[in-house]
Amino acid sequence: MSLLNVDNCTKNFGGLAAVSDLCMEVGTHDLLGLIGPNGAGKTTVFNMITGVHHPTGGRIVFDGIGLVGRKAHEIARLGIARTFQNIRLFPSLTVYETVQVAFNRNVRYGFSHAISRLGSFHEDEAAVRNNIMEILEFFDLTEVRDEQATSLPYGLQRRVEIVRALATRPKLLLLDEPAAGMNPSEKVSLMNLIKLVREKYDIAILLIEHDMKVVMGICERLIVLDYGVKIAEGTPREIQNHPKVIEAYLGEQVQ
Amino acid sequence: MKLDKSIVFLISAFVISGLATTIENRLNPYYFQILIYIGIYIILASSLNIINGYAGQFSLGHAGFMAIGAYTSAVITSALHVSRGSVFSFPAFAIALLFGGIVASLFGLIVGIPSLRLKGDYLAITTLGFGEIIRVIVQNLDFLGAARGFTGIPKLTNSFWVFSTVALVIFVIYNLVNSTYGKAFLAVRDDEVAAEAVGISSTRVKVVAFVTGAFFAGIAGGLYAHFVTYINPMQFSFIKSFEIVVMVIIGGMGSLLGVILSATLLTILPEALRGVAQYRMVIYSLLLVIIMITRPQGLFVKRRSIKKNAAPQTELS
Amino acid sequence: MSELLQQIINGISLGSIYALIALGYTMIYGILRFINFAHGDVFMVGAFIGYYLAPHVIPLFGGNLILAAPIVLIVSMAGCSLLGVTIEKLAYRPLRARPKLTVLITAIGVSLFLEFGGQLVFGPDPKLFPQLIPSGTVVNTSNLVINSNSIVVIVTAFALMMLLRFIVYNTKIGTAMRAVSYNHYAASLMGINIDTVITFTFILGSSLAAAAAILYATVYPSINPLMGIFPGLKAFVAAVLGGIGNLAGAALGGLIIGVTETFVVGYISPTFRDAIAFSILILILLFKPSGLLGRHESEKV
Repeated sequence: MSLLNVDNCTKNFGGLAAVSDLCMEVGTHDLLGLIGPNGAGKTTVFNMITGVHHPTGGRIVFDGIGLVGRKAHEIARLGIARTFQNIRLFPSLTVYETVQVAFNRNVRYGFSHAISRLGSFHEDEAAVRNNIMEILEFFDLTEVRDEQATSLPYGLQRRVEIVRALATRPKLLLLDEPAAGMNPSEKVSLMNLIKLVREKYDIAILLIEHDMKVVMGICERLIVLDYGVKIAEGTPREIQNHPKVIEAYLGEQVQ
Repeated sequence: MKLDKSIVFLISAFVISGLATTIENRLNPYYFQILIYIGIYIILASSLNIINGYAGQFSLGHAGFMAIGAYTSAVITSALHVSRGSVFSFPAFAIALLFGGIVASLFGLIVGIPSLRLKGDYLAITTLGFGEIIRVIVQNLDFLGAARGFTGIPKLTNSFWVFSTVALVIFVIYNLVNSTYGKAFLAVRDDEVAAEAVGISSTRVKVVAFVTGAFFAGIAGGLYAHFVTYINPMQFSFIKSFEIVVMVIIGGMGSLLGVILSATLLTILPEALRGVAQYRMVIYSLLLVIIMITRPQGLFVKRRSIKKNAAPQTELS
Repeated sequence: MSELLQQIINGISLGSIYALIALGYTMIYGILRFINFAHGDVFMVGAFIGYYLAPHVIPLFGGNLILAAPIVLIVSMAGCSLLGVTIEKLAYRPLRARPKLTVLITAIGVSLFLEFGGQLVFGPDPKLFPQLIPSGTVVNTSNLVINSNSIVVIVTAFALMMLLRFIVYNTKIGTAMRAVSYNHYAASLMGINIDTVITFTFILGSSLAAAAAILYATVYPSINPLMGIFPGLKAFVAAVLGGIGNLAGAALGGLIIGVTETFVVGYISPTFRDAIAFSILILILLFKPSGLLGRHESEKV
């Protein structure tokens, strides 16, 4: 049974069809890459899955639950986490606080106990603190935990963003161009990071990426979009030699 | 049951401010008045800080909540025929203030919910509009005294009520911000989309902020009414909202201590400038512009200003 | 029937004044994405420039208003342009990269500065604006009385709006303005000097505000330093109603607000005069924030 099932999804912006009739399946342990030339509609697919945009047509089913029409935070709570193409951290929060925000859903107490500190407050807060320290430790962020997250070097920021996403204990992680703006050594670190995430969490990962080294290096399967339409699907090797894919990227038939 | 140190703080504050009332008639009445105003403005500015500074919502109609609290509590004490010396006045005032806060928070809900769909400038204007509409409505209600005002309010406000409430506001804000629950507010303020992506309902955060902020503004209104003993709608105009906004901005949005300091400073300043009263607003506004240009994070905030990206590029649709 | 027509003409007259002010709001919002709260007060300054100027200019033309009035108008417009540009350079330009709230507060600060400063400089009590339009009724039938004021207001406002339209759609700088309103970055890559465009926009907006003020003061001759507050607010609502950033929308919005206000005051009650604008604002923001003709801007994720 697939974890995520995108069924004939279309997204139109005014007259422009950003995504047309997309069918896509992600299994519980898949590491799937979504690739295609710029403007192919990849981020739009992410936005539809995470509830930022509503599909103009089609269905999306996650873990047996329909996603279309749900609010973004509801979908996040169902177990889908994401990072953004342009890193979106919280400018005024430290690394520790950033991850703490993601653990928001773990606290059982509400407004009144947040203020009065009665009830399960101290217990919940202690549990959250442990969780935060544990995940920061695992991803080697303990040293920078009290730094303002947006003041960190780019590679570290991306790591914080991924850790924030993981803190929500998702079943599916969407990474939107995580390697964008990175130098080669940072990209290697990123690839190792993603592999580490796979080992530890064994979740499904859907990755949008332009860097072919990263894509070929870690993805098990690829889906290729061009002008909003799926033009190919298969293993990295199959895709590398696929004529339609080559045409989409290079714009012409390769003789 | 283990008592958190913040509750210890709160109870101590109640006790100390209660004791303070025994000596307050020894104080010079002019200084006493300034002290009370400082307290009231700290409550107003801090309650606005919850909405503006912590949840990141532009609200320019805070005086409207103050007005609602003022009038509601005045109506209650008047209906209960409360007078200053009576033994009955303590619980009666508590009830009046509480109701003032609750009714104000209800309006906070009413204003907050539709405003949720609006951002930035639009939200600011809408809240400004609501503030004015509330004022206009009161101005047209005869049983509230309309434009003539509401007179004969018993002078029940004293240092206990004011500073207990100040302590309460500080308690609420401090505990809120230093909890995992409260971090959600800051997240929504910083980046709503990212906050939603980690499962935070920005709607809920904003509504809670509006309701809480309005609640305390309402209580501040009640305290104000029962000190000045006469209120009229013009006291709660946009100018008042603006004065409170200025306190929050100058203190530093999201800075608990900063806002307390700026509220104190900006309450004392007009008194100090009393001699040049007609220049007061001119100096005020000029000062504001200068501070916005040179030190927008506020006078009392240490951290460097956080540079946000310029407005998102819109595209030809 | 004649009364209805009378009200309509009054409404259009008032509405065209609001439209002129609204155009200033909408242009500045279109270029800078912020609400220039001080715009209504620039309007006020325009009225006062006219007030102080007219008694000197009119005698120069031997009392001939038809020659004197345009001079007063033009000088007022120039004066307000200077004011608008100065405000932009001193108060708004340094804040261009900052968060929106900062500029908003600054604009409010500038607005209050002009208002209270005006009270200091001009004195708080109302003054009587000199007559600039030769009085007289243009049409006087048994059914209808239209006096010259309304006609001059409508014609002048219309002429200025046509002039604006020409500038924005048929000149190089106008095209530059439109480009900047879509995308600052791309426009600058095309070689457009953003600062120049912004300055020019403020010149246009402030001139129209000044013109609106002169016209307003001829219809309602009592001027005071706080006179910009309500017309400014209503014009702002008009801009939002029409779709902020949209020129035709601003004009349309102004007319709608003017006519609605006139009708409500005339047929229902004068006490609601100012509440109308606020109510329209709330309704629009709740149901169609992009306005009647506006384009919807969404945040790119």
